[in-house]
Formats: sequence, C-alpha cells, structure tokens
Amino acid sequence: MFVNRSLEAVSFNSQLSTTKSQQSANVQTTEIIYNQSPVQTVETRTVETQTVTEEKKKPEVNYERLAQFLNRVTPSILEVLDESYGTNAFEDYEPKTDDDSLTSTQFLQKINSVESDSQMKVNDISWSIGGGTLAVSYEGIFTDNPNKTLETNACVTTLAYHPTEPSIIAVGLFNGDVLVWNLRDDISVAPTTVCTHGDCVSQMYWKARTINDVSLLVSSSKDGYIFIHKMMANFTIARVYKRLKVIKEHNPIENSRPRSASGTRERAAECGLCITTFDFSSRDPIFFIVGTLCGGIYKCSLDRVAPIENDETLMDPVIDEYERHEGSITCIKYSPIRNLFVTAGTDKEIRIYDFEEHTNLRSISCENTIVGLTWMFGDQDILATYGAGSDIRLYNITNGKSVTNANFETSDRQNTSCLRVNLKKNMVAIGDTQGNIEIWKIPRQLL
Amino acid sequence: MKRIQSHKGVVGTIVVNAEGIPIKSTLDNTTTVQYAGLISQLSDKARSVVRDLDPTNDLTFLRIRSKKHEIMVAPDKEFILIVIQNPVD
Repeated sequence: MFVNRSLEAVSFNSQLSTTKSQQSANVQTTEIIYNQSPVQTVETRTVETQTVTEEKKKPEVNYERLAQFLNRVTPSILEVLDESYGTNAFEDYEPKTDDDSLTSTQFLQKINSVESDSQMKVNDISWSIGGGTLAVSYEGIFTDNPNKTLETNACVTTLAYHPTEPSIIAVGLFNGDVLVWNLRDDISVAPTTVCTHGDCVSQMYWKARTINDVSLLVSSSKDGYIFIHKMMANFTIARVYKRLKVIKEHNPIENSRPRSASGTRERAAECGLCITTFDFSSRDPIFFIVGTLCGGIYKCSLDRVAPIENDETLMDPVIDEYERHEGSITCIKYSPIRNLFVTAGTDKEIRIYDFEEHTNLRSISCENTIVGLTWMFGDQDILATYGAGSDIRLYNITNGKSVTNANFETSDRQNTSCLRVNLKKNMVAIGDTQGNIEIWKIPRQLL
Repeated sequence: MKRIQSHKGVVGTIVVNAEGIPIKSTLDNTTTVQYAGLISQLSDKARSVVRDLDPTNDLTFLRIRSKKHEIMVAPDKEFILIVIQNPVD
C-alpha cells in the first residue's frame, strides 16, 4: 500500500445518482374579513341622597277647638268610665276562641231502633261519604236510621257506602245476594241485584275510579269466590269484570267445609277456601290480602292469570302466602299510609305484617277475641280494635303500644260488633250485639 | 283631660287629630304612637261600617273590651279621644 514512487493522479466524476427535483407552489391565503362591532360596557348611574334633618313639625292644633271637643266629650266619657269600672257584665265571660276545645271523647247519642232487650246484633254499619248518614244493618232487618228502612229477604251481613257517591250503598246478604241501592230518589227504592254468591257474603269493597271512571264493586263470599263487578249506567247495570277463586290447594287440610257455612250442596262441592275478609293495598291497587276461616293470609293480585278448572273466566288470584294465624282471621286492614297490613284472629292476636315479608313484624296479644279493626283519623298509625268484651282499644302500629287517651267506656255495652269512623265529623259509631249504636265524638288533637 | 286621667282605673288618655297624629298623651311615646295609629284606623273603619249600614247614621262612641283593658274611643270630625281603662284593679 505504501510505495515510494509517485503515482499518476486519477480523477473520477461525482456519482450523485439523482438530481433533486424542484417544484414551485403557490400559497394564497384567503381574504381576511374584518368585522367591527362596538361594545360599550359601562353604564353609570348616579344617585344622590340627601338627608335633611328636618325639624319635627308639631301638628297644628286648634286648641280652642280641642278644648271644645274635650268639653263636649268628657261628660259622656266619664259616664262610661264610671259605668264600665263597676260593671260585672263580662266577669264570667270566657270567649271560646279555639275551634275544638274538647279534650276527651264525648258520648253523643245512643240509637236503639229495635225493641229493647232483643238479642238483635248490629251486623254492620257504614257512614256515607258526607258523614251525614249512618246505615245500620241488624240481624234480620236493615235500617237506614229512622229516615229510611230497606227490607231484604235475608240477613244483611255486610254493607258499604260508596266512597264518592253519597247515595249509593251496597249490601251483602246471608244468602249470597249482593244488592246496590240508590237512595237518591225517594220513590225508587228497588235495589239492583249485582250477583249471587254461593254462600254468605263476607265482605264488600268499593274500588272507585280505577278504570274509565267506572266504580268496581268487589264482594267476597265464604265459598271462596271473589266477584268484581263494574257498575254502569248510574249504578243500575252490573257487569262481571273478574271472577276470582281462592282454591283449596293452597291449604289442603282445609278441605272439609265448615258446618256453619250454608249454601246448596252442589255449590259446596266446588267451593274454595272460606274467605272471611280482604283488603286492598293502599300502595298498589292491584294487590289485595285475603284472610280465611282457617287462618291463612294470602297475597293476591288482580292481574294474575291462572285459570282454574278449565274455566277461562275464573282466576286464582293467590301469589303468595303469609305466616298463618292459629285461629280464623276476623279482619284485615291495610295501612292507608304505610306498606303494612294488620290482621286480627280468633287466636286473640293482632299481627302487623310488612307487605313484602312472610313473617309478621309484631304481634299484640289481647285479652278478648278481636272481631274488627278500624283506622282512626288524625294519626293514621292508630288502629281501633274491638270485639268480645266492652273495651275498645287503640294501638299505634308503629310501636305496638296501646294508646290510652281516648276512652270509649260505657257501662251498658256488652260485645262490640262493629265500629266505623266518620272522617268528616270526627265521630265514631259503635254497634254492639244488643242492637244498640253509640255515637261518640273524638277531638282530633287527642290522637 | 286631667279629670278623665284622674278617674278610677284609667291607664292612659290620648288625643289624636284627624291624620292620626297624637296631640296630647299621658302615655309614653311608643305606646302612644301605636295606639294612635291602630285606633284611628279602627275608628275610621267602624265609622264607615255605621255609615254604610245607614247613610244618615254616624258613629259616636266605640268601646273595645279586651281581657286586660277597656278602650274607649270618642271620634269626632277633627279629633279622636282614646281612653284606656283597667276596669277592675
């Protein structure tokens, strides 16, 4: 590589393979548009206040006239002063400024429209919606106070005034007939026969204004059927809306029909559980709770589609069952403000159930058999309980404690058969097994 | 006025002019202003009631009985005399 001689110089061309391309391009920016808008932000206002310390003007008085006036008026004033100083006209006058100063329950009236010392039991009573009329059913005859007497061909077991129409009353009979009377006209006292149950009607319930402004009359019977009728054409036409039956399979032990039940034998063969009471949920009007003679409590729904016995029109509404009572269920009442219901049974227990829970929240033991429960007005957690024995007890269902400040004691009442509350007039009607009805007034602040 | 004030049971006397401004009073300032304003309104109202019932009639005297006092009002064209009395001492 390294030699000591000089070599010839060699030249070579540059090997730049590609020539760089050049392109010319123009960029033209779009024309810039200028907008000019004036903005004026400041608006100044000046308010000046000048306080002036003004001499307080003495009102101009014509003293001559004032003296005249005083002279004129003084004698009569003195006279009146003399008179009123010694007066005792207002001494005992205590103006009644409070609306309702009643501090305790007050016994207003005793109604006894059947012959005295007869053993006619008051089967049911019902206040009209306005609170002015009280309908009473006796074992045997049915009277609407002295104002009107309606005769039926069997014992009235239950009756219910319509919740919004003051002249409409529904009556359930021992022979299973359900009748509706319109008491508006004095002449037409012929009832509309809604339906005939196979057994004694145990309870009725008006479901007002749920579909298309038509009232529904729900009636339950001891043969296990619940009929729901639409009352149309001013309560003269009844159309069957739903027929429900609580079938025996829910409690197979209860397959012998109770001796007390009546009705024809053919019907008896296909009867369901003996329904004694029911009440609709205040939260969701499709749900209702049914109580039976053998202590079963069933959650039912109107929307349940379960045809029984290959009859498309007859449905079994039961969707669930609650913990059973030891004795017959006498009454079920759903709380108007809570998702609770209260049951009473012949096992001398009152139980409070949550709608969603199988077991009861609380149970209250009683000395006597409870035949009925009624919510009081004012505090709607207070429940009146009545039944065998003369005492009517009030319980607060939120804590199960007895409310003692309302007192309904009388000496000559024996067994209470029904109690109804008149919300409009703060009154309570109590019917007993002797055919007497007592009307009590209760101050609202007591509850 | 002294004669009235010295009467048995009289707590205070106020003379009010037609605009409802107290002119003479034996009570303290705030009470006087309160009485004067309220009573002059009331006596105007009472007078209009009497006149509405019968246009030829007129209010001559107004007595207000309360639990504590009796207030006597003698209304006139120009003045109103208010006397507050404690009827039973």
